[in-house]
Amino acid sequence: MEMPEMFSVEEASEFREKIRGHIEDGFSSFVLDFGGCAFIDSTGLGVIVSSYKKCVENGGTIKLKAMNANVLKIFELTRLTHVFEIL
Amino acid sequence: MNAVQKEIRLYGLEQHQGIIDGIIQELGLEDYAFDIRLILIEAITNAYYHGNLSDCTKPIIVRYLLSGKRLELQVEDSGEGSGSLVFPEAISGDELLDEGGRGLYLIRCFSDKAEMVRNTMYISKCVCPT
Repeated sequence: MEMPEMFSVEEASEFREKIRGHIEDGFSSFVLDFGGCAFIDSTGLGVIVSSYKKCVENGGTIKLKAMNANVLKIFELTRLTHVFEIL
Repeated sequence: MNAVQKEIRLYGLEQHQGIIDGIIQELGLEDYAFDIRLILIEAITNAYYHGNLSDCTKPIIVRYLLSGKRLELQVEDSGEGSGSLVFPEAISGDELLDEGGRGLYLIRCFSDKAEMVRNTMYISKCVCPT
């Protein structure tokens, strides 16, 4: 899934609905492509974490790729680099 | 001439990204855009959900002042003020997979000083205007 340029409150809500639909359709593993994402905040992190927990419950996972330095720093500071596999 | 503190009033979370971009541009702090955007989005989101209890009719007041190399920010909500707002120093292992609880921690990480006094968050950050 391609992540939006700004992954904040409004975009996080849209992402939640989108990934929830995919999970309901039976998908349980996702790669989130941050190649076009320049910003993420705690709301965005929270939605990714809650989606990850649903995927794991269903036997899947979420992996992350192509994060820029600022976005990666947010994952590092919040120690989520210990949770997600980064490709 | 002394720098003057400016003030913007907003309601809800629909215009805040544009307002933050305007503040960064006005202050010439594009080199710090990511940090300032993160601090202000987290502070405004906190004010909206926890101070104003998601009520779009209640104002959030953002004040900003660049004095030399010091950026002073204030975000005031319309609530009564929380007596025990803590800016965490770390995310513990037990909290790793919590959905919330990272906003105040990130504000602390990206600022030099952050504190909540009554219903106003005071944030200070050292910057070098370009």
